[in-house]
Amino acid sequence: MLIDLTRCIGCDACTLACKQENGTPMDTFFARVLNVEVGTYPNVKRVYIPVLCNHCDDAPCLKACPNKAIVRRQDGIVLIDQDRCRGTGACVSSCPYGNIILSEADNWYLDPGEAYEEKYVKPRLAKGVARKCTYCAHRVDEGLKPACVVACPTTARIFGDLDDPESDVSTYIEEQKEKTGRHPFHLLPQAGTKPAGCYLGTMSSQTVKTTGQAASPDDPTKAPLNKAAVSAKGGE
Amino acid sequence: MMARYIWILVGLVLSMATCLAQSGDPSAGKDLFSTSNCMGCHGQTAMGGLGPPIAKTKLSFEEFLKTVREGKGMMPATPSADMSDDQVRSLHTELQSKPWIPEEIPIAYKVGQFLTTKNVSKVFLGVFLFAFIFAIRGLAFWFRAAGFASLWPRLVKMGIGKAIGITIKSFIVDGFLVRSLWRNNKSRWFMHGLMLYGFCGLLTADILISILNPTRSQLPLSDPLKLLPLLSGLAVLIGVSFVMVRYRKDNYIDNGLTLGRDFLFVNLLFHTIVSGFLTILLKRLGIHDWVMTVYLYHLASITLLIATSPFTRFQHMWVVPIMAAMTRLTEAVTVSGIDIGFQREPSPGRHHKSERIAKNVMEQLGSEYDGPVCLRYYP
Repeated sequence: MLIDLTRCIGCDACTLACKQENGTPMDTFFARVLNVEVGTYPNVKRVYIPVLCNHCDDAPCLKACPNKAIVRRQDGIVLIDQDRCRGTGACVSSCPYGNIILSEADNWYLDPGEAYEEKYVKPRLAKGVARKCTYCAHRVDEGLKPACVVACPTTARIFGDLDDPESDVSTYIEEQKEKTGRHPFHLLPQAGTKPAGCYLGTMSSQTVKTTGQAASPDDPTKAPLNKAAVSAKGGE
Repeated sequence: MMARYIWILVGLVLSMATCLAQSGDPSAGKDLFSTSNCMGCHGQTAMGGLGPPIAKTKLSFEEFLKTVREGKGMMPATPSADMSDDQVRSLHTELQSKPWIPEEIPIAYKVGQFLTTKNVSKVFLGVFLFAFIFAIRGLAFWFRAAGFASLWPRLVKMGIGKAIGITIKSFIVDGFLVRSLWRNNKSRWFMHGLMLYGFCGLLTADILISILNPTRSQLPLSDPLKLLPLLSGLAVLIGVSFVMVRYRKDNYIDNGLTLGRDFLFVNLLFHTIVSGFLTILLKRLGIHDWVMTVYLYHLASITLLIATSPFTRFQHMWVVPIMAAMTRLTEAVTVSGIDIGFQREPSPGRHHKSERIAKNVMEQLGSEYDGPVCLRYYP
């Protein structure tokens, strides 16, 4: 998964979509957005960093698990098996991103018997065990995209196979290298986990390239509609 | 699988070497030397097998008796119940009169002569050191992954004494007593316990033997120093056999990353224990031709088990307790309220890890994002 920080507006639609899709209990967020303030007044900036499980190639959580409850599938998705997990808590610490959730008891938003997730999700979420983002493996298996990707109003999240040069994510990366000179980076490369999730930086420092055409003030629908003319319109 | 074949090969080569060593002159006669257990190691013409050549011995009778009674290096002690002083004396005379035939000195002895207790200890010390260095390197990886550098100032704030207390408690409860298994699956806890406590028993026994019986001379089965390793070994054997069966039956055991390393550990442990028991069994049955070979195989298995330990499933022995303790510490930091005042964190350490991510991203974004980084949370 690629997350374009320029496109992210910090709306938390991904967070909500994730909660709805996975029916997670209170305080449990597989996908979240960090609201980061950086700098001192008057030079303060806000950056939104959406974070979720990185499904690392060299996942420390998987290696730390004493029960072999964490599995890396053929397609690279790392899953915690809810039946095998014994809640030891070794994975929680070993994850550099703090994306594994382990709590003794669950609190739910709705009263027992009223919750929509009663029959559908609760059986999947065993008590007192570790959980994390699954990249919506159940959706991926059906050929769908993860819920957070679908929900993102600005398409800041692009999902696909990084090893496949034809995939959405690979073509987007190539396109961005060419048009905006941005290269994807990983979170905490020094942790040595080889994450599968990658990010593209913000573009405020980029020169905005346009074709020089402007939308006609008389008829805004005559805006440069062809894709090539739009180019990358970055900026504040 | 590959490892198993290599093992069989190594065993075969060693046993052939031993057999070659003993294919001496069969007409040596039924003297005391060949009827006692000496021939097994010292060769049919007393020109050496895995033990050194002892024909034309230069030892005085007193020295000879002492060696026989107390054992030396790998040589087992022989109590007077098995061989009287008189018998030893005639054996001594017999050996002094045996001819020295240099071409009979076997190749295996050239290997065997290095296998003194001192040398073996040196090799083990070296292997331990090797494993230790790589274990420390591995540990650095885990501490980096866990963001220990950003947790440390919080621990200091909470109080190092308290932190140490939580760590020790977690090592005992989560590590040594394996609380999570105890809570969830008693039978798995029992099987795990057989291996864990059995292994601890073996380790304790080895340390005790090194102190109390440094020459490793033979002890009766009823001796506590013999009973402890035997029972511990049996426990590990049952546990590891259970795991091996589970590995065969459980399709799920392949987690897509560590399967090969897991298999290596389980198989090495199995071979170590089985060859250990086999050594004792062969000794008791009096099949001395094979004792040395199997014992060497046992030593080689242990060496490999220790040498590969920082890379195989063996590492869970230190990684899991340390990581679990770190989780408990992080929980305690949150609850103590010294951070930003969360009552609890569903994912312990999420705040300081998020801060670390934010700082790292700002660094990667460039000079425009210099300055103090602050995370904002909204209720």
